[in-house]
Amino acid sequence: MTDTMKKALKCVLFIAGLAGILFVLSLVFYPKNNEKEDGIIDVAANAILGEPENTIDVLIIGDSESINSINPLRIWEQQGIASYCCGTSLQLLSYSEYFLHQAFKSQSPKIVVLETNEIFRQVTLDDLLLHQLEMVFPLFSFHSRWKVLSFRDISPNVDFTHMDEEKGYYFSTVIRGADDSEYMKETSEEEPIAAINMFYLRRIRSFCKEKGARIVLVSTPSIVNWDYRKHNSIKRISEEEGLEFIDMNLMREEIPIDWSKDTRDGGDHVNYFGAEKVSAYLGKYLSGTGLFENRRSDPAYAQWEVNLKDFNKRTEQYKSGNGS
Amino acid sequence: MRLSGFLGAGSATSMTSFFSWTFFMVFIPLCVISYTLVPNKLKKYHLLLASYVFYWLVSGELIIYLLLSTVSIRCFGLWLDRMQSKMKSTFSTVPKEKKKETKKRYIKKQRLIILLAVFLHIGGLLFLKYSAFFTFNINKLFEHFNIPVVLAIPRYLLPIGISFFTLQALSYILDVYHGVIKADRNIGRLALFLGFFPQIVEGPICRYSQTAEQLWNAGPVKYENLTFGLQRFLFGMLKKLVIADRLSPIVIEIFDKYNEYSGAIIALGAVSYTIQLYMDFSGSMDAVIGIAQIFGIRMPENFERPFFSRSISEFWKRWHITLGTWLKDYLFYPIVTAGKMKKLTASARKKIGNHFGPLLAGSIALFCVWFCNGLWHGSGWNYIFFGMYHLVLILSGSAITPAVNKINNQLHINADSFLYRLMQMVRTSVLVVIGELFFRANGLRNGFAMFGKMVTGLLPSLPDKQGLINVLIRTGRNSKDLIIVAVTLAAVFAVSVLNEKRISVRDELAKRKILIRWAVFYLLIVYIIIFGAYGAGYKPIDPLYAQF
Repeated sequence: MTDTMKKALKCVLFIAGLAGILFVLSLVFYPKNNEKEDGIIDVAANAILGEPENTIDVLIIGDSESINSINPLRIWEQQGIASYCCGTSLQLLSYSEYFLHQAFKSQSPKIVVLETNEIFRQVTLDDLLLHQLEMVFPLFSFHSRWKVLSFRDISPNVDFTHMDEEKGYYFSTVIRGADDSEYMKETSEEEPIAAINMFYLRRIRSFCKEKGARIVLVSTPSIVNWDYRKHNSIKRISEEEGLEFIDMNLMREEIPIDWSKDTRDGGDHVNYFGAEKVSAYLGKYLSGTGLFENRRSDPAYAQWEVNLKDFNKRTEQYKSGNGS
Repeated sequence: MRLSGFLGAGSATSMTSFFSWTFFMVFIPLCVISYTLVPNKLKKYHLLLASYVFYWLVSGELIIYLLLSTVSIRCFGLWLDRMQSKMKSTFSTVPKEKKKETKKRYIKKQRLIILLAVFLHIGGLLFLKYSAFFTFNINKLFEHFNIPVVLAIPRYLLPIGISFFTLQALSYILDVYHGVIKADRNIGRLALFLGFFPQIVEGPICRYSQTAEQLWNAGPVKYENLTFGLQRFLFGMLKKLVIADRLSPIVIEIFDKYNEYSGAIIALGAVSYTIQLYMDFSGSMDAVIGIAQIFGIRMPENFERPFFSRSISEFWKRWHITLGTWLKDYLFYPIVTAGKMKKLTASARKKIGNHFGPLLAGSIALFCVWFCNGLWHGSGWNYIFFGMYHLVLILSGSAITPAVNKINNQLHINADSFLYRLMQMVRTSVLVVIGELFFRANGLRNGFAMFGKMVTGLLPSLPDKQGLINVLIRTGRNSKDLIIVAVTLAAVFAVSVLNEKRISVRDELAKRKILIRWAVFYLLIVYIIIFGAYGAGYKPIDPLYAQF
């Protein structure tokens, strides 16, 4: 064996050894439960891991627009469809893909709703690379768990027990109105979409296709984050890629958002009152696809009824002036 | 998927950090592999291409400044060369009595060329970097004198590394002028000297004689260079990701909200920032020198364990060495050796003695050096104050040295004893930390406010556990973060002690058996992966010196 070959072999062995160590450490660092105390970030979104197997009909991914606008419990109440919102603040498409993979490990949603605002938040090359590493070695995702590591982590068995009572929805009754006089002024211009984002969008589409799930692009109402340029871009790519697209920002009659009181932060996100209107429309749309049966009388979903009751109690308390 | 979408102008700005995934997982491996594959004759062109691709990715269209600087120094160099050749040929033909006059004439012409070069390069830097600062201060003056004029504050995009490559460009021209080097006709070699990708973001500020030939004659990648280079890179990564970036939110919190904290916490903020800056900058230098070593290039060191310094003068010989030597060679010496300054020194020597005479005259040159040093770091009064602060410390240090030596002799104090040296190191470090407080403060006014609060409130507020808890809670950190920082600092300190004793850890490690070596490398890599401040919950921190 020549000297060069020996050195090359040493390099290969070193990298293989490192991969082995990272694999073992990934098993140790992977959270064994999905509670905050277990070092989980974005607890509400990750709480989908605690839902019983194959109980979620619709998966929602996106940034803060999704968790503020779509209330799965209201969709449940009105249509009997079990949806779950895995949105997080400032979510990137790479992170959405992560949730998609996580969710499909134990769920088989028939529809994936992708809130479109994040399509314009560029995934950087760094995000892409770290994301790929995290997919192969979860140690890169959960390395900060060194602070909460215990002997229990040596066993690779996981038991996710935490469920979010509001199914990922962010409940807010704050009112800070906005001026909508410039909202959705028509133009033929388009907002550019980064190449990396298109790459991720196509990967998400392929994954959903492979899993037999329909993907629906939904633009929830937002004065601050949405405009006609973005609408044009998403409309074009939805046609090119053969995806369904619902732009709620143009449905002023079907979803009558009153921007003087249905937003919590001057038109950036809708509040509870806006979310009621958005969820009612989305629920009807989902029901109209004919893909779902009403599960409200299904005993397997008894917990959903409990959660709904608690949620309605909370909103009633608010309306009567006792809530926050 | 079009590749151009990923590799557009300025599409990888994160690569200004050597520890960004894009840089060390994609750019460097691709660069090293393709470099290995190209024939030896073409390796220099490969390095040049890689450097320009890198600059294009991080700076986009601003690459034009780098190109202009390169073309400019080539032209000025050749112009000076022609003038020097002409002087020599004229010299041989003129009669002896006219030689002095001829020389004077040509020197004057060369000085005019230098003046023009300095005007263009420094002028460009001043215009881009400082016009907002100057305009802001002019407006303040107008306001002060009730002149109803408000100038619009200009904002320009600053090309990455302009402060570094401008100094390199000037050093080349000045070295040609002084006859230290010959003017280079090869624009490729000059372009590579100025734009070599690892060094362009944060230096070190290299001289043409140090790196140009090495870069242009770069040979194949050797296994030893590859492993040693990667080890140095990893050590830099440890400093930056585990220590500097973990401290960053704590520093931001304390400096932004110093009003809410006690003197003890402000002191903690100043110490933390000093550590952060050192670990960030020296860590990046480890990366630069390590990457260069992979290609067989030996770059000048920029740090030599500065916190082992016994005085502020020594500190500046160990901290940002290449900036210090640049200012010494191209600013300090030309001033102190100028005719008028020599006369002033001689006269001062007669009047106030051999110690204070040269010191007084030299202080004029030192003032220029430290004013420029401060201003080079940024367009703000706090940076100028930082420079003046160190000037005062250095001058006062020199002034009191004879008195201190006399007292030591009379009291029979051994100035070389460990305790005395330790006391000097601690004193120097404290003075450095105070300087860094002003350097980092959000403006000079805040710097003084923080300093005042720190001095008056330090002892009464010690240990201020609650303040520390508040800082940690607000930054999402806890005591475990501080423990990791402390442990890693101890490891870096141990390596520094060995280096100070001229023991190379890498050399020592290379002598050990493969299992021990690999165990150390695995430990280092895994340590960085686990304890590094990256990913969810952390914001990537750009290298601190890239902004200067």
